[in-house]
Amino acid sequence: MGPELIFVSLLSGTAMLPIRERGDSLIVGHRWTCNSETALSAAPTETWLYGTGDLEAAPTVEDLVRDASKLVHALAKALPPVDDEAEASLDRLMAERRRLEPRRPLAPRI
Amino acid sequence: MFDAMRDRWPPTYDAEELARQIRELIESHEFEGRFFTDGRIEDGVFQGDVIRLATQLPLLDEAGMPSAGGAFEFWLVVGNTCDFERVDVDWSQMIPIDRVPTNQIPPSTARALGRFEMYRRFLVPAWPGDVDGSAVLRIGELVHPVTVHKRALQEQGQVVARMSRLGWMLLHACLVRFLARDDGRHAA
Repeated sequence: MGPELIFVSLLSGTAMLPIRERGDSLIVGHRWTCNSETALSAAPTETWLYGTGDLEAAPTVEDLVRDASKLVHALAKALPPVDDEAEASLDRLMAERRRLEPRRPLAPRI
Repeated sequence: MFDAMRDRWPPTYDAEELARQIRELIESHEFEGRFFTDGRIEDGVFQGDVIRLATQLPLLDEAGMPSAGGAFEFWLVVGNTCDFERVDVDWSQMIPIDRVPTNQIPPSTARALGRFEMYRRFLVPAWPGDVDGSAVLRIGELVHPVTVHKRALQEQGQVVARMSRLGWMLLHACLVRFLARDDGRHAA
């Protein structure tokens, strides 16, 4: 199987990471670091997932899935537990607000 | 010492450190003061900016037809910051900020909202210069993302508030939770 590229959307930016199959060759892609500071001079930089990398250090598909999973888990775990009952209460209130808002078709009905 | 105004914002790898910072922010008596930058808002548009842009919410309705829904004056930019610098990307995303009178929301619901215990919504604190103060709750509706041309944000919109790094981290965590929550498809 040849090398492949994968796009990983991390909300703060899209990282195009080089993926290598173990023991296979590598395609090196742009690496973007995206946040409010670096975007002013946006240019391919080191990926914020993996930091400095060389050909040998480039992640495998398994590495990428594992690390992205850890990152997502860390971010979600940082927040308090979801209060489903309170959210359902607000769902009803907001649905009523949306229902009362005037809605105007933007295209003729077919 | 990390300087949020000068240094590149680092990634957060450590779940415990992130949890501690977010907990401190939520429980801080100076929450609103720490959520937004207090300095001059520089040019450009960034993820987490509050934009004033009076327009209607575009929707696909029950029949799958495009419609214009309620009018909103303020929006929260959720699109990637780096996209604003890229010439090959025309579009970004924002969500409406609904300003709901505080007295219309039960206290227990408002408390859960204020502790970021809801995954479909993001409470936007009162930003500097918002005269309504605590009379309204500013609710970012994550379920209503809108695709917007970048030039509309840059030329028609006005940035009225910019998040601090702490506010941005909290937004990030909530965006991830919104998109990556367990889906419950096999729940009883």
